[in-house]
Amino acid sequence: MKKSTRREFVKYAAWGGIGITTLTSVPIISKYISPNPDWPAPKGQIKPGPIKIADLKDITPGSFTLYNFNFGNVPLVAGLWYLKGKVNHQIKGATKSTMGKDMGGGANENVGLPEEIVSYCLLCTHLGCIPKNWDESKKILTCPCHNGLYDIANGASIVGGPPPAALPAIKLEKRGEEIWAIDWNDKNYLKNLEVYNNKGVI
Amino acid sequence: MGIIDKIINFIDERYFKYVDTPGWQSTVPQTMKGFLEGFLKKPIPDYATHPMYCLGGLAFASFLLQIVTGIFLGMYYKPTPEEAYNSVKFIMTEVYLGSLMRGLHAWGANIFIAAIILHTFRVFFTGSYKKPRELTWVFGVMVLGLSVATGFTGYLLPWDQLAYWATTVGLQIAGTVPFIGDVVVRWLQGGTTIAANTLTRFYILHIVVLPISIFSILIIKFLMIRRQGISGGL
Repeated sequence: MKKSTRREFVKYAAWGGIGITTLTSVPIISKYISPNPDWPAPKGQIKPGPIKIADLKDITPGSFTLYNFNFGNVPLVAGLWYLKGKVNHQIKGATKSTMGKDMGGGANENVGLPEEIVSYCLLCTHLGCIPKNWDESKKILTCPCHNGLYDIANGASIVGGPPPAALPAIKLEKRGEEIWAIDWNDKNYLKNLEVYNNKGVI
Repeated sequence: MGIIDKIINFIDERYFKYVDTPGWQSTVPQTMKGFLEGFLKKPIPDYATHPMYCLGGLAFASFLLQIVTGIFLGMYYKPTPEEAYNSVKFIMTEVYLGSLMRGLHAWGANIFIAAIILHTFRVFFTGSYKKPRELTWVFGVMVLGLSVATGFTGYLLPWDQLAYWATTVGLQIAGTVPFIGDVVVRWLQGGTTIAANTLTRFYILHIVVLPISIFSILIIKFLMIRRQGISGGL
């Protein structure tokens, strides 16, 4: 082996040092630059995915609250009800809208919660307003824009007005003493809703 | 022919050896090799290897560090009153090695200015500012002033109490300048109080105007140093 001079040794050591520093910095800098999915959502935005919507002790029979959620595409508003009295979840294919279309809403499939607790997305299937005028005695939700009427105790099916289909249900889950909104109850149902497609929900 | 020679040849054919006007004498060296050798292989006198003569280089190295870390911080920093503090907090707590990046930037700023001041002392006490190097000294003093200004504008950006009151004090000092003080303060603030406009003004001064000014002056300064050589000490 050829004996290297002092100058050569210093040269290779210096270039080697620079090379190692550059190479090792590549993964570190990549990690610094790449966004982390665990980062908290920016102020005023909702992180996509399951979300805690209420504490069990805070909701009582007869209560109606709103919450924001985001299942991956656009943030939306939903309603959470703890209904009094009988609730019919199974209305699939049974809803006749005033437009003559036969479109069933999604049944609620809640995990570990009383069946009187239901949740529906508040985006009117007619033109995308937020129906939130709630009549507790009749269990009817009214959309303020064109008077669409939804029967919340019967799978949010339409009982009047122009909406073509029932509101889509949201799957709830009991996690500890909290209520979480997990996902859409029936993603396929959303594909039939023109408003939801136009808004990019699916 | 190795790959490096090929690259050099490629550039030579398109720049160093290429002349479109026959008879015109280019001031550029005729080959890239000649250019690089002239650029990198300038001999340094023995006395200039003393650590005291490395302070200018240290200042320049920390300036480059400021540029690099500043670019990385700029990827997450948001210059608005609502978001500024939160985005700095975000860098410190959520971004991978973000606190290291901000630490390098903050400490690097101190090292930068300290190195410039020590370098100024060295140049002063070795009499290196004398003819023919007066202009280099003047440019150096400009860099010192611009660096302090960069530090001052950068100090406001975290938008916390420390930053706010430091800027208040600094601007009040600027306001004591006779005749033009009030105007200068209003221009820097972009209003009558330290608010959103002050933050955006300081931000653009800090990341664009001042660094580019410093860098331009440094290029002129380095060209002059190359021409004049390093002064012979005491």
